[in-house]
Parts: sequence; C-alpha cells; structure tokens
Amino acid sequence: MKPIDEQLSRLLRAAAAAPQAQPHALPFAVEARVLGDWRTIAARGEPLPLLPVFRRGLACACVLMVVALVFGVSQIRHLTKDNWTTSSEMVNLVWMQ
Amino acid sequence: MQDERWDATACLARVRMGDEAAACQLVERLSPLILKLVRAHLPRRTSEEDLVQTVFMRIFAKLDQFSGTVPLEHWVARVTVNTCFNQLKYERVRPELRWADLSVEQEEVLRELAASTDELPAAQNYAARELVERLLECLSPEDRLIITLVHLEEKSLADVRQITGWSPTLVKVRAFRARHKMKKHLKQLLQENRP
Repeated sequence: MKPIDEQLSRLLRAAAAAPQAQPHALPFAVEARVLGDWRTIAARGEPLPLLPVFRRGLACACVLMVVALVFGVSQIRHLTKDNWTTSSEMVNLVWMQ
Repeated sequence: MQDERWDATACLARVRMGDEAAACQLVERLSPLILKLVRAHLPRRTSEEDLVQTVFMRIFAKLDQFSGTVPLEHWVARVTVNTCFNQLKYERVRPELRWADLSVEQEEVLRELAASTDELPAAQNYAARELVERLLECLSPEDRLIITLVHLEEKSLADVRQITGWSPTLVKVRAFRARHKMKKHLKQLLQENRP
C-alpha cells in the first residue's frame, strides 16, 4: 500500500470516528413549516382523482391519432399511378383553359 | 419490528386520508432519521432546516408512490439522500484546497498524518472530519455521496445500492474513482507543506 493510500485511510477512519451531534426533535418553527406544507399538499391533492382519467383520455387520443395517421399513409400508398395521372391531367386541363 | 411497520402503514393511511394528527406523528417519527441523514450529506451553503423542510415536502408529495414493499425508513432514507444529492449539484465544485484555507487544527491533522503511521489520536477526530468535509468539497456530488456513504457512514455495498439505486459495479467504480481523486487532493496538500 502506498503511503498516500494509508494516510487517506487513517484520515477517513478518524473522520468516521468523530462524534456526531445526536439529532434531536425538530425545532417547533420547522415542524410548523413542515405541517403547513403538508396542509397545502393535502388541499391540493383533492382534484387528483381526475388525473388518472385525464391521463387515460390523453393516451386514448394519442392511440387514435397514430391509428388515423397509419390509415392515412396506407391509403396514399394504395393510390395507383393512374389516380395520380388522372389528377395531373385534370390540373393541366384547368390550367390550359 | 413487525408492529412498528404495521403502525407506520396505518399512520400513512391516515395521513393519506388527511388526518393532521397522523401527519404530526409521522413528522415526529421520521425527523431524527431525516436530520441525521441531512447532517451527514448537508451541502455547505444550504441551511439544515430548509433542507429538512424540502425533504418532508418531497415525502408528502410522493407518499402515494410508497408501495410498502420496503420498510418506510429505507424509502425515506432514499428520498432524503437524493434530495441532498440534487442540492449538491447546485453547488460549484471547489477546484482545489490550499494549505492557507485550513484551520490550525486541520493543519495539525495533516502534520500528524505525514509524521507518523499510527492512527490519529481521538482528540483529532473532529478536526479530521472537518478536513475530510473540506476535501469532499473538491469532489463532484456523486463522488462526495459515495465517499460519505462508504467511508464516513461505513455502509455496506447493499446499503449503498439501496440508497442510491446504482448498480453494484457502478458503486464499486465510483467508490474507487472518488477515493483516487480524494487521494490526489490530499497528496497535493501534503506536498504543499513539505519543506
């Protein structure tokens, strides 16, 4: 073991052995602030039951959107060359007039 | 232990239903653990009380996510350590520690380390702890966390995994690298004082 390794180990062992102040109860002011936060969160928590419904609705909307997109793309692919040619001819006719 | 766990479950159920007395009970029950963890991982420029309040806020906000598959204390420890870790990310890492930054007691610890191969006297333990905390300021939040958990709190690999959520390999690699970086800073300090 290199001297620096051994020195660091001794330093860390001594630091770990250092007495730590024992945690006491929370000061009254902090406890009051914490309970105040809890009241706020508890009050805010009331409309939360609607959240899962909203999430499911959003998920359904996304699925529908993807299905519609896939359907649209597949419809475009099924168009034959003639469809496009006919459309082009129509445009040309209108243009020539 | 089972009774304690059952009590915690009942208490949590009451807290979820909006029972303020249960919330008070929960705060009283968890505050020693949270205070202990916050003190061990406290970022230097953050107030202990503010951090405790933040931890409790997160616990109350995430209470519905607690499934009860692990003891409440383990879940709370994880939330607390993660909150401290996130706070540490906001603190700028100190580039290096110089001899001139140290207190007289910390200088004595370094001299003792260089002069002898014996364990440091118990009277120097507190100064050693302060010196280690100053060296930790030179490390990244991840490195600070792993050194504190492994070397100062002497947690096992399983405990570190549970608290951090890191894989065993990641814990070992981070512990090794963090120690290596800390060694570099300590060496630099010791060389600075060499005549």
